[in-house]
Parts: sequence; structure tokens; C-alpha cells
Amino acid sequence: MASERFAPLRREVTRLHQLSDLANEAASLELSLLWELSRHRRLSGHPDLDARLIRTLMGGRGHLTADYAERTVRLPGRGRGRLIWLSSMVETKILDSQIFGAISRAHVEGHAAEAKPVKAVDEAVRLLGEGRVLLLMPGQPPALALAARGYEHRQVGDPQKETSMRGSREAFVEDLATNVSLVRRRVLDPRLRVEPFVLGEFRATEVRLLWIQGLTHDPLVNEMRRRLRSIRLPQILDVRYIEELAADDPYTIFPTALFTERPDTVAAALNEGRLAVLVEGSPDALVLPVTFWSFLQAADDYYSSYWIASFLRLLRIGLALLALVFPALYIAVIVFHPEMLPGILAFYLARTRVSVPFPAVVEAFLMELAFETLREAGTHLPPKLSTSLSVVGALVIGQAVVSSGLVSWPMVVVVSVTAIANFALPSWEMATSVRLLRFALMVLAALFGVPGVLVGLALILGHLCGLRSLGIPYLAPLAPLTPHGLGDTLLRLPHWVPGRRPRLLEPYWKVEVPRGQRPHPPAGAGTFHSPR
Amino acid sequence: MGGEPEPGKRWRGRLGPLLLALAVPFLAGGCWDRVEIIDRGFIAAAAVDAVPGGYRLTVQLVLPQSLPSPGGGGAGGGGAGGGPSVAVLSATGATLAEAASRMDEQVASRLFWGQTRLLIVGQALARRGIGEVVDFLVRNRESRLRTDLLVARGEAAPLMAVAPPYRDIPADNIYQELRKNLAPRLRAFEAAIRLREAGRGFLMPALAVTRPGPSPASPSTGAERRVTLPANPALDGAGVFVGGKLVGWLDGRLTRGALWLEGLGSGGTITLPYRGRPLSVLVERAQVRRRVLLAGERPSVRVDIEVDDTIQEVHEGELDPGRPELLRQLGESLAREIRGRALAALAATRRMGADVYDFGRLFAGRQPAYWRRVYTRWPQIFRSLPVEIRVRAVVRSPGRLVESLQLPR
Repeated sequence: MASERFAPLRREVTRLHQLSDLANEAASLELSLLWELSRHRRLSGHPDLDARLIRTLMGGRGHLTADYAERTVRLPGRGRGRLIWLSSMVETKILDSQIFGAISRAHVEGHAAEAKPVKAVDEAVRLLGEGRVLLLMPGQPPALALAARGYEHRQVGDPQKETSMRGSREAFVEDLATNVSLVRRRVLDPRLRVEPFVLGEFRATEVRLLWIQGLTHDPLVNEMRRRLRSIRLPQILDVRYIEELAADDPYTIFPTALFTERPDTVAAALNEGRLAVLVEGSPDALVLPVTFWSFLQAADDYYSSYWIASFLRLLRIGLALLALVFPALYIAVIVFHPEMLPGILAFYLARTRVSVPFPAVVEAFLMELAFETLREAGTHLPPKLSTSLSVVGALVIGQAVVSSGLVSWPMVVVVSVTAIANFALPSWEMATSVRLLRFALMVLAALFGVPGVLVGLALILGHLCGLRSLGIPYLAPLAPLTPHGLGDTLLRLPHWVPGRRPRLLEPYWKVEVPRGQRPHPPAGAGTFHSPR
Repeated sequence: MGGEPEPGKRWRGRLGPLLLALAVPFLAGGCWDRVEIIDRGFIAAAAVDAVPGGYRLTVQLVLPQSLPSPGGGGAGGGGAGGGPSVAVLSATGATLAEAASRMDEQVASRLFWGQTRLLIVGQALARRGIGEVVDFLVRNRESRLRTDLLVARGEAAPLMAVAPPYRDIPADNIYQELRKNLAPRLRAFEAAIRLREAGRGFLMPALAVTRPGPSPASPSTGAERRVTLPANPALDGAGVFVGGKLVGWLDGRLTRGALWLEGLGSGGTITLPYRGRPLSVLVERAQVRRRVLLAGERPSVRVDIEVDDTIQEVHEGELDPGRPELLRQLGESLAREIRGRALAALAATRRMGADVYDFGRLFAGRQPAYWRRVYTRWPQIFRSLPVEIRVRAVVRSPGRLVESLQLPR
């Protein structure tokens, strides 16, 4: 009964819905057409006309974005202008006190640090979206983009991913301007160049290329510029987008640029003649060119005693190798070459495996995958739950699986030692590469034994030898060998050691550590107390 | 940099070398060599005897599941507690390989020679020659060439069944004894090298079972548990081989003497009379320089032995390190003792015509022309080869005590 009575009404609602969908579609079409037209179109110089165009682009009738704000202002001597801003991106205090104040005093150009003349429509809209206040004026220039940005962003805090005992405790944040200032405060050189790029087709993103003029080899800068300009992605949310499009070898598993959240690392890299890329919205900087060794170096190396720093560097190389081959070698030796083990060890390893129902390879993969699962689960869990995860993980893997005889103790030891060695690598990117290659080597070990592992290592080494980062050989200064570059590669020599370091970018590297700096006690002085 | 090559082109250029590289492990060894470690039957030690119509192979096969488990926890009920963790298997065959493959049929696991540390040859077989044994061992791809060869005084098989409780793997016991460096060790690869040369002499450690009786009960309380010391295969001198055949034996003392001539005397204790009482010294370091001389057609050898030692035990009498002439006297009598032992060993091996000291190799290196003329007659020449032995012994330290505790008043 009721359904019959309401049927016409329902039909009417459906028809209206369809109509509004159509209208929506038409509006979207109209808008994209407008966007296309507005590209490279100049502002007319008539504030009312321009304002209407911009308002249409920001959604127009019915769809105007809610934080859109527009006021008509009187410009002394120039007639009426329009002030447009997005309320979500603008600090109202600045707007009130400075911009309106400046307009009333006819000091618009000189009111603030940033008053950028704007000519193109699309640029005006982009700047509006970035949090500028647009002042549309009659005549030339047709508009000024005024800085009144005010929005919440994270404060500069401790490095979370690259912690260190000593040294700076500041890390990049998501705000580009803050990040540039963090770097500049550490470089303090007028030759520091901060070159702006606007990348991203759909969502234009501010990108900064940093280098020190006169120090960085010009062809490197040109090459990087070329690569940045050739990027045509719809959006750029992180430096990773840049790294993937600017890599020398797009298929390599190894990182060819260094990601760092530490401004001091970026400053040091700039002083070594490298380039850095900062992206709005990304709390990481991209440093390149880099070599393989850059990923085994930590900021702490330069802030702690060179003895321990050198030791740690050698240790890290060993650990990288260990993380790469340990499970593979274990499988190969257990399954193919038990004669390589010291006798008693072979017998005891056999003893631990008596109850294990799987071949060693399956066992190793089970453990590795279980560990990867735990790790992946851990990264996605809120910190409050991660303790319960580790408890479950330790119980499941460490206790239940072993005591039920599904997995042998030595395999647990191998997998855990490998995991810890992997965690000891300072670079997350290098650690993940090693982590993946480990599985490839395990497959090779399972199929071919030690020869398989060796061939796998040879292939990796061959690949590394051929790899380049912004044209610089990846294994430099070891291959090709430049002996004086080694002072900051395998070891970390004291800061007073004279000579040019590093020689990676020779012959363009021009900063030398002067001779005669090695400290020593004052000559002839045996005691501070002078004899009476 | 530069123009980006087509993706297809990139891969075509790299695929060739990649496949080539992967072919290497395929050829070097592949899945077909894969044997899980629990499916391997580790042979810890093997004994070979001659039987009519072939050989008898007796081995100690490791039983991993009966090894004691570390920490007590873990799966499988832990260790059986005490008892050796090996099974003794035996098989015969016309060749060693046949015996080995028959033995393989007896057990579920695949016999594996890669961890075999000892191979004991029975006396009868040793007299016939050890060529076949070494051939089998060295030809086998699995075996490590570092397996120690020993010769049994008597049959070898019973030695496999003796299990002193000191180690989980009985053979390990003998191996540790060998490692203490007081025996003329002979590894499989060394034996193979020596066998290639006709008439070459060498020593091989000899093994015999010692059966000490029960320990004397403590006289104070008769109720104490009497401990029966287990039977133990122990090193007992060395067998002397010429051309791969056992030609005679050296007892422990003569073996040590022979080792002096090869510079392997350090680590041992020597006891000598000192003022009518025994005094022991520990040889810390022994250096040997051996020179061959050829006057016309008359070869001779000079052996210089330098010994540093420490006093280990002084019974009674005066020992005053403040009087260097006493230490010098001690050194001189030590040198006499060492020289006497070396000469006795030399005399014994001379009688057998066995140049176990490789003096022949010295001539081959220093006087190749002479060696080419005489090497076929070398055993005869060795019987009358003049060997000059000079020993210089220096007492470096009186030990922790300086003077004798019981100085005569």
C-alpha cells in the first residue's frame, strides 16, 4: 500500500539524482576545459574579471571551495582591487595587521618580505593554493602574491631514523622553507645556491635544488637540472618520486641517492661538492651523487673518535656482508658441503635437525618469512600494540616453533644474527636492498650450494661496478681506485690529516685540509708550572 | 646520462652474461648433490683390515640423535646420557669401494666421508702395502685430504669398538691425542705424495689398546666405589714404512728420537739424571737446521738441533741459578740425552733402510744431479749415510721456583 503511494515520489527523486549527476559532470567538464584554457593565460589586469575567473577555477557556482575568501579593497591611487586567499592556509593575524594595514597605507609592494608580481592565471591559482594572498589590481602588474602563510606544521625535532650520540639534534620537517633554513644555517656560505623548481602536473610541488657554486662541478648541476626538468609526474609527494625518476639505472635494486633527515649530513655533502634536493612536504633530503660507501657511513662517524669511527666502518662492511650471505651460506654448507664444518660442529648441527621435518631451505625460508612478517606487522601497528606483537613473535618463533621441533635452534640463531646485522646498517635504503638480495642468494644456495652463492655475489659485484650515481662510479674510490680518496671510505682519518678529501669528485673538488694541523704538546714544556 | 636505450635492448645485452654466469654453478654442482644433513651418515673414523679375498671395512658411524643436547632443553628427548654416540658397522668386499657400498646398504643414511678424521690400517694390510687404502681415500671426492692415517699394532677393527667415555665420539679421543703434536702425523695427502716415490720412507703413528686395570681402592675406607678405568686406544710409537709397506716398528722413545731429527720435538718432557737424582725439563722450543754435504760421491748430513727448555721438576740437590755453570752443565747433559735418542732412532731406521727423515729429499733439492744418479739405490746408501748430529740445549728458565726446595744443609 505504502510503497504504491510513494512510487511516483521515488521516481521523481531518482530523476532529480540523475539530473544532478549530469549537472556535476557538466560542471567538471566545464572546469577542466577552463583549466586547460587558463594555462599560460595572462591575467587581464581588471580585478573583477580576474577575480571571477579565479573564483570559477576554485569551484565556481555551487562548488566553490569552502575556505575561499575574497574582499574588495580600495587601493589608494590605483582604484579598487580584490584580495583573495584561502582561509585554511593563511594566518589571519598577518592578514589583518600587515596586509590590510599596508594596503591602507599604500605600501603594498613594500609591505612584506614576499610580494611577488604574478602575471599568469595558472601561477596565480597555484600560489593561492600554496597559501599566498592574491592582490588583484588594475594595471600592471595585474596581481601580487603576498606571503601570509600560516598553517600548522610539525616543529623541528630530533632525528627519528638517523639517531646519533653526538652532533646536531635537528631533523628536517615537512615544511620546505624551514628545511632550506636548516641547511643554510649550517653551510653559511654566500655561494650556496637554492634553485627553485616547480614540478608535478596535477599538484604542483615546490622543489629546491641546493649546491655550492664554485664547489660543485657544473656539469653535475646541469645534469641534475636536466633530470629535474624532465620529470612530468601528476604529483610529487616525497623525494622518492624524484629519486626514481632521476636515477642512473632505473632497474637497480641499490639506492643511487642518499635519503637523509639530517640537515648536518646535507651540509657536509654540499661541502663535499654534492647536490641536495628538497621537496615540499617531504621530511627527507635527497643527496647525490653518492657512492656505495656513503650508505655505510653514519653522521656519528664524524662526531666521535676516529678510532671508533674507523672500527665501526669496517664492522659495518662486515655486517653488510653477513646480512647478505649468512643464511645462504648456512644452507649451502649444511646441505651441500658439510665437510667444511669443524667435525664436532657438523655432528651437533645434525643433532639439532633430527626432529625438523623440512629441508634446510624450507626451514630457512619459513624463518626468514616469519621474521619479515613480524617486521612488517610491527611497522604498521601503532606503538602501543607493538610490545604485544614482540611478545607474541618471540613466543611463537623463539619458543613454540623450536620446542615443537619444527625449526632448529641454529636456524633461529642464523636468522636473528642476520636480522640484527641488517638493523646495524645506517641506511634504511641499503638495508632493504641487502634484505631482498639475501633471498635471491638463499635460492641460489639451495639450488647450487656454495658455487651458487659465489656466482650470485659475483653478479652483485659486477652490477655494483657498473652502477653510477649521477655519473659517478658507485664503488669509487675503490673501483676505479683513487688511493687518496680512501681516507674517508673504509676508515675515517682524523680531521687534521692534510690533503683533499674526498676525491670522489676530482678534479673539481677544491677545498683542502691545510697541512700542519696535527696537534701536539707545546715544544719544550714539561710542565705548566714554570720554574721559579 | 646520455640517451636511454630501449628497455628490450638493455635486457638483451645483459641476459647473455647472466645466463652464462648461472651456468657455472649448474656445472659445478647442482640440486642433485643436495643431501640434507640428517640424511648423511658421518663416518667419524674407519679401520681397514686385510681378509682373505679382500678387505674388511669397519667404521664408527655418528648417531647425531644420541649426542647429548646442549642445555638439556629442546626436542627429541635430549641425549641418551652417557654411552658413545656412534654405531660400529662392518662390511667386506674385494675392494674398499665395494666394502663401502655394501656398508651403505646396511644403513638408512648415505655414508659421508667428508668428516672422517682417522683411518686406521691393520698390521697385516700395512705389511702388504697401504697404496689401495690411500688411493680409495684420496680418489673419493667427498673426503678431505686431511684424514690422519694410523697403523694398528694388530688388527684395526677392534680399535673401532673401544669407546673411552672422554668424548661423545670415540674417534675424537684419538684425534685429540694426535693433535698434541708428539706423534709423526701423516695425513692422506702427505701419504699420497710419499707413495708416488718408490722406496720413500715415512712414519705412521701406531695405535694399540691399553687396558689399565681397576684403580686401587683407597686403603683408608674400603667402602669407596672402585673406579674402573676404561680401555683406551692409545698412541704407541710408530710404524716404519718403506715404499708404502710396513717394515718395522719404533717404540715411543725411538719415535720421539726420530721426531727430534725432523724438528718436531717441542712440547715434550725429558727426564735426565742430575747429580744422581732425576730432573725433568720441558722442551719449549726446538729448532732444527739440516744440511746436506757432498764430497765427491760421499754424501753426508749434518743436523743442528737447538733446544730451549724450562725446568719442570727438581728432586733433590743443589740448583742455584746464580751459578750459570750449573745451568750450562744441565744443558750439556740434556744435549747428550737428546743426541743419544736421535742416534738410537737413526740406528733403528737405518737397519730397516727407511729414510723417514727425508734426507733423500734434501739431496734431491740441493744436489739434483747426484740425486738423479743414486735415487734408485738410496735405501742402501741411507743405511751407511754418515749423519752428524749437534745439539745445543739451553735452560732458559728454572720455572717458578728458583732454588731447590730441599737444599742439602
